[in-house]
Amino acid sequence: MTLRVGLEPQPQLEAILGLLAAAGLPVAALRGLQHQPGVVDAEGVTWVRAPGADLLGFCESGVLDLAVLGKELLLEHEPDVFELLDLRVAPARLLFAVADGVRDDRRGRLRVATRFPRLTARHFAAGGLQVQPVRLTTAATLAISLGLADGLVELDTVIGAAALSDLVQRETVARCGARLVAARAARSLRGAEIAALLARLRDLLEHR
Amino acid sequence: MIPEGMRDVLPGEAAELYAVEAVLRTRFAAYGYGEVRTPTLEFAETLELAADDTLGGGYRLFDDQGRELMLRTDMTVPVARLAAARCRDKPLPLRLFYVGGSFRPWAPQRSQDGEFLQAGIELLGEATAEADAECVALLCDALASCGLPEYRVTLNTMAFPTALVDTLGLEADDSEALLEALADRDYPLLETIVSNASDGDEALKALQATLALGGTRDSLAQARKLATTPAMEAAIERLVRVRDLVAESGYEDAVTFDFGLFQDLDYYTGVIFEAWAPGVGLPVASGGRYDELPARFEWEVPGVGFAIALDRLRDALDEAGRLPATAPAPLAFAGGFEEPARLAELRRAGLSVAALPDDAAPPAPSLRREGGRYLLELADGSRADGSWREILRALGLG
Repeated sequence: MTLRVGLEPQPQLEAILGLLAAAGLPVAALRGLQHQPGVVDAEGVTWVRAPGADLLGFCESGVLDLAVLGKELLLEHEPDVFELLDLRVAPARLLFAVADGVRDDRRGRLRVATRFPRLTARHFAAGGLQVQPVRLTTAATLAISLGLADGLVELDTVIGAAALSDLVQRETVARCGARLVAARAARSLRGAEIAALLARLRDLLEHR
Repeated sequence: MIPEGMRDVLPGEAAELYAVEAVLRTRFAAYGYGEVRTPTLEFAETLELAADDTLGGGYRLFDDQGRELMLRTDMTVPVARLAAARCRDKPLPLRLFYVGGSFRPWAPQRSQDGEFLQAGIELLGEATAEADAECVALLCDALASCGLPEYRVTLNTMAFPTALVDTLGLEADDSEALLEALADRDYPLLETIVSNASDGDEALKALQATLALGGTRDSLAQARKLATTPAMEAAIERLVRVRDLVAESGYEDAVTFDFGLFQDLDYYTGVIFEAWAPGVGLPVASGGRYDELPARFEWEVPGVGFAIALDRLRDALDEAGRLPATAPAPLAFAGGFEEPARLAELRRAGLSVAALPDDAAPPAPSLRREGGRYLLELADGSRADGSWREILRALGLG
């Protein structure tokens, strides 16, 4: 059976593909169709392109062997997978930022728009500010412009430099970036293949 | 309506599950294990004796005297309770098996049903590697006998993480963080913690190499290099011995190692293992050594065992196209209600026959009475038409 590898659409996909290509994976078939979800068969690898949260579900169900996705999803979903390697590409900071003029004492709780409500709730539960996560599936900045939220928790790469300049950065919640994860089933059933790929990737990262 | 996380099983699937259970019972009995049944309800304090948060709670209720009861959350704890209460005077080792359902709150995010069927064994009173190996070999035997073509049993020992922490000489906080990262399978974090330790570099390299080889036979040799303390050497030697014994039993190819394998339940103390099959996202079976569990029921004996998740095993067999053959559909006898003697004759001859009224028109395989004659239509499309004697001949009973 081919090795089944999941990739999520993300701004720095090209850098990830470059690394995977250097490690010997057949990425050529993926060029040019980076945003539609789907399945692409290449030599020895079945690529599955889907949103990262879906990829985690696929790994947990044993229908994917490996996936490359952002650390922020691992923090949000706490999936039952092996987080094997920090690929040191597509680095991003998960930021807590508020709209200009928002003061902590303005009301009981700050409304924070985010794609990561569990992570956000956990982060602020430890103490300090009281926040109410407002769950969104896309751009959190929109919720601020519409007055639905006072702030956001989002990746700096997703917010974008222009939108970020209108916000007041308060805190880096986590440092994120692309991670290689393995399904638990694959770890036992395809250990040798995964170990070989891991060794090649580690070697590449060390000699960068 | 039924509660979320519960499900019904209809005749076809029930027959498949029954066939799988029958194979497992035969294999467990072949190694000298005797079947036990424990009550579905236990006192909550009994299960809490052995459980911690990681057991994930359970369904609780009160009896008519206000005592708190729990639906059993697994089978190992009730069997340990049973053994401690009823089998103290029996010669050791004690070999027990069970087939039954356990109950935990529905957790779809963990693919956890509210009720799940398990078949498993417990080997009590034997602390040796030979006992560990018997369990692993029996698990391989059971899965292979069910017809599962590609499965792997992955081994580790709980002594490994404990010994690792000791080796690195970490601060208490870091030790805790390290164990947590190992349990969460967060290896980038693990590496950060180890590289901050006193002699971080060497240890980090060895640890990376060991964890990178999960699910391979090489990882055992790699872990041997990492073993720098007697405790760690002993843990590795134990795994080597188990592997050798399992290999001698004929299951060498099924066994692999993963030092990243970690059991959440805090009652495991030695060798741990999981069985995996293609197309199923969670382990088909898991088990290990739990030497301190029976002591919680005031019986100081070591124990080792495993539980096979029957629903997952059935799914794995389905995925592999290897579900056991189940009994063919019964012969539907339209008019059978009016002919009890002939029904009895067919059933005595070993046929499964479902009686129907005269005017029924059942699909094949069917037998219909028309006037004084009978029409037989079998599942393969073949037909016969004639007297009762001729029908018996067509059924191969004449």
